[in-house]
Amino acid sequence: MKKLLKILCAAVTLCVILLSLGGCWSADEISHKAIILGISVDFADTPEKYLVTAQIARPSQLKASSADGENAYINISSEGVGVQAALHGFETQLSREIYTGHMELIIFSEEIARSGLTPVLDYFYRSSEARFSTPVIIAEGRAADLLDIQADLEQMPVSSILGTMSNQDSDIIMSGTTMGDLLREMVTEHSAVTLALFRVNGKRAAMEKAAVIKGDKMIGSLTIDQKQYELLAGGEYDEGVQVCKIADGKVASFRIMKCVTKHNLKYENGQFSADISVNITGQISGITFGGEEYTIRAREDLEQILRDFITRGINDMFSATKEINADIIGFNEMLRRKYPRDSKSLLENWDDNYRNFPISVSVAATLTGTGAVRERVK
Amino acid sequence: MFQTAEENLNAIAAIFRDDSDFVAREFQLPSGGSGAVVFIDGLASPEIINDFILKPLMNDAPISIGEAAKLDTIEKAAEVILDGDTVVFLDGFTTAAYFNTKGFPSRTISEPQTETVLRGPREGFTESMRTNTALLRRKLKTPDLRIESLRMGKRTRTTVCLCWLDSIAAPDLIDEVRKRIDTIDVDAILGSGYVEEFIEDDPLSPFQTIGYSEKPDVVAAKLLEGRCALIIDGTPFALTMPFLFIENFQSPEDYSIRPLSASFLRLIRIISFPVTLTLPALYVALVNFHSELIPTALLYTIAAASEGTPFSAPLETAVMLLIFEILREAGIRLPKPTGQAISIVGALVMGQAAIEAGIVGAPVVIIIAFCAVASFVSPTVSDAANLMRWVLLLLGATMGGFGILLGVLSIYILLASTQSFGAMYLHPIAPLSLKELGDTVVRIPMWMLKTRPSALRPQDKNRRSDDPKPDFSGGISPYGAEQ
Repeated sequence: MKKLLKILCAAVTLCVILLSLGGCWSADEISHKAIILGISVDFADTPEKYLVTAQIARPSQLKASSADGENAYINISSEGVGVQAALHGFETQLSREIYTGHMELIIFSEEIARSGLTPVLDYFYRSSEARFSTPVIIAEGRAADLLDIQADLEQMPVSSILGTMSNQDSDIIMSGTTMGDLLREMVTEHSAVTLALFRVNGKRAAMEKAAVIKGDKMIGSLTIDQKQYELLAGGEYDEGVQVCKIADGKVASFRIMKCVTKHNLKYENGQFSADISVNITGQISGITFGGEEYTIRAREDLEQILRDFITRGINDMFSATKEINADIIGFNEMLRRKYPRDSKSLLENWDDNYRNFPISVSVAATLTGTGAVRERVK
Repeated sequence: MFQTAEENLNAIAAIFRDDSDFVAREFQLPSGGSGAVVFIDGLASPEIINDFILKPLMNDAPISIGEAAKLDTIEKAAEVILDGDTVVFLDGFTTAAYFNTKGFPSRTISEPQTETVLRGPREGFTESMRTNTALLRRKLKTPDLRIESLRMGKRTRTTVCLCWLDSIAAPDLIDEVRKRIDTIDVDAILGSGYVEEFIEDDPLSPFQTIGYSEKPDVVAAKLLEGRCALIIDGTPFALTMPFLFIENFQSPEDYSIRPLSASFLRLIRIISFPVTLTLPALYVALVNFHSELIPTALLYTIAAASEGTPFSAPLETAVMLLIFEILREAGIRLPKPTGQAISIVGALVMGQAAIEAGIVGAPVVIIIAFCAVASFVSPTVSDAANLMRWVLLLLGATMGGFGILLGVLSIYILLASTQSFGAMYLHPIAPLSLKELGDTVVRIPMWMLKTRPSALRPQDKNRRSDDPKPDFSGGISPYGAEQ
């Protein structure tokens, strides 16, 4: 009996302690929440105000939407001096409490990105509900328009945009940069990060460029091809397709199966430099030239084509980033880690020094198998 | 006792008074004098009495019945006839004789309802104690098997047999069981539960600390591990002790099927226990407190299902759980055909109708249904799980994940501190004994199972020798003899 009493006392004490952490008063029914799927932020027409548009799920319509023609979401907008104030405005329009715990996408207009993201991102960083793993994208033109696109295969525009990004991801064009990545880059001096740049094309969203963000501002953009070489040079490329244009309109395409990138930073004779070696293994997936020409081309030639093509691509990408002064690979951080003392003076003025930072690229390509062959090798 | 049969007869008739099943038959001996046989109609076999007692006595021939003995007192005579024996009084003797004429009706040996197996032996205990000891003896044909008879219950005078293997079971275990049985002071023992509650370590714990089985092969296996068993007259359930928590997840089937399949099934059973225990509580905690932990797509589904339902998630879950408990109880108590009807009405009609009418959401019905199915996987621990589930649901509904954590930890502490006849309940998991994990979460092949559970402190620790299993790979070849 004494033992039972002791256990009972311990249980009651624990319950009391736990009740200070949370109790039934902090319970919240899912069906009483307005689940926000994505948020877009634009400058409002009123000066110094933001226009925040939220896409809110209508769970009851999720299954029936196609049948009765009603959308599985609603978009609502509110203006405010900050994101918080605008979100507060939603509460006057909605019957339910807004919930950002499952927010899947944040969209900023290019205009906001160019003027600086800190004032708008601050709310999301401090919010207890929002997650650091939420992808952030930039919209050419009005960000709210992206929430209004035709979703086609998906039920909601946000899912459609996310699907486009992850779909591209597997084919290695764009990896989704998240809120957490953005924050990490923002606190790292002098380096830059790329975000997907979407444009509304008719009623559909198209991802055609990558926005380069340095500090908290957008300083320029890369083409999708350049973005691809950034991933290759940065070691984030895994597998994908490379279409190499050869003279006279001839095209050879390759499927890259494996890609290993190594960065080697050097400090010789008071001069810093970087060697990037890319080791590619792939297969031939298609050649538009055949017959005579094909038969005489040995595999080594095709490897040479691929090698040259990728080397040229990476070098072009570095030229473009040097032009806008954006160290998107993060050499400054690598130098700081490898040569903490010697690199100090170089890094102090990295913005200028990056333009002249020597980067040499060497690519090794190995083709395994013949891939799709139209004619037999004689 | 008296000198004449008539006086003795009167004395015993005075004890049974006008009982209609009490039979006294007087007769004259050919050699002079009279005698009487007394027995209870229905308990004793009339054929045996007629052919092997009355006929020889009346013809002055010897009685040919194996089990017979002398009795000194009328009270003893009354006791033995209540066991189905027949007592003979003769003129001129101050003692009586009794003969084993037990012939009461009993159920035939059939397959147990509670422990069905696909490949194992199918015979089960019956309500007759002697049949049960015979079934056990048939499994363990060794003089090592001790069967000690005891009487319990002031009014029922029920026979209880304590069985153990002399060279395996720890002597202090047997002494402890005897000691605990001696303390039983009750007027009736009508089933195994009566004994269990008197001798178990912690009668208030939701978890049982004494095992039970209807199958002689299971009881034999337990005795072989160093446990002892109690076979109680009038019930087909034998009690085995000590009982370890892991026994809840061991099925006799495990030892009849291949080790890999047995291990997989055992894992399923073990996983089902926390599932059935915590699933409703986890659902309520996730939906009400931690919705950010639910995958987005699932969140929409849950939100869509619970939209328009009038009750909050905890209330919905509690009501469905209560309905399930009522249906389960009704299904068990009702006769078999009606019981099935109840399950159909409960599962199909009420569940479906409740969802369609928008009273409860489909996820809650799925959760409760799955939880119910998972609870049937390990029937012996389901009673405890059914009870603890409510506690966890309450904690999950009031304190969310913290509450469930508190509940689960408390259950673990309770389990870890429980003992059964000197064995730690969570053995061999806590305290951890790596060597003995072979027959717990998994079931290793028989030839690797070399030792008996050390928690039972067996005298003979090894089941088999240390010799490795013979290698048969070099034996007969499908390609004939090697060239």
